[in-house]
Amino acid sequence: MRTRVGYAGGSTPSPTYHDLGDHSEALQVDYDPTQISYEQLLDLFWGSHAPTQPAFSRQYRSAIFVADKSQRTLAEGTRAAQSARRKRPLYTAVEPLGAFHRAEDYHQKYYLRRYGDLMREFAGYSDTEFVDSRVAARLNGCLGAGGTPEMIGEALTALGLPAATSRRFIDAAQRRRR
Amino acid sequence: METTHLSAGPTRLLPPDVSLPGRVETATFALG
Repeated sequence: MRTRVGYAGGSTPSPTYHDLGDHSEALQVDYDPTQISYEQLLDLFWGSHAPTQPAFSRQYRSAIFVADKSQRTLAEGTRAAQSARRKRPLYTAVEPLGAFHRAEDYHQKYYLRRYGDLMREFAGYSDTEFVDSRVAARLNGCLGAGGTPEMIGEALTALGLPAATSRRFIDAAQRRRR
Repeated sequence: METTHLSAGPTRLLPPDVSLPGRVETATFALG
């Protein structure tokens, strides 16, 4: 799985964090559908935000940006089910994806960037390679979710990292927690 | 919030692991 944050849903040509135009902050996930389905990602999405709350601003609204007809059908289906279950109207939009603009590098892998020891493991990666790194995505997810060093170790082992490398990550995460 | 930027130098990790084996699809969300 690869992840990146950026700006989507608008028409402004080159949005930046300080000048989003009509875009919204968005998260993009590249995934293998034989490992995790779009329906499962939708379930995670619906459990990760408050769809019955109106958006604070267009920058921070909630939306599903669908890439094709299949995604639209599934997104609208889960939206209708959520609305029925909650018995309230939802503010979450379902819209065509359009252009996705990758956010500035310093916004990518936000949680991982707090861990200097972990970041040193990626020395030599280009900015783009770091953003697209599967290990960086997994680490960032674990750290953002308050994952324990043991969780990090399991996740890295599952990605096929050598034991010695996984050990360095675990040690670095433990040092940071103290 | 203090954050760390990438530094130059040899990688200590595996070579950049950016490729995904198998099929790849993309999902995009805004979480409010």
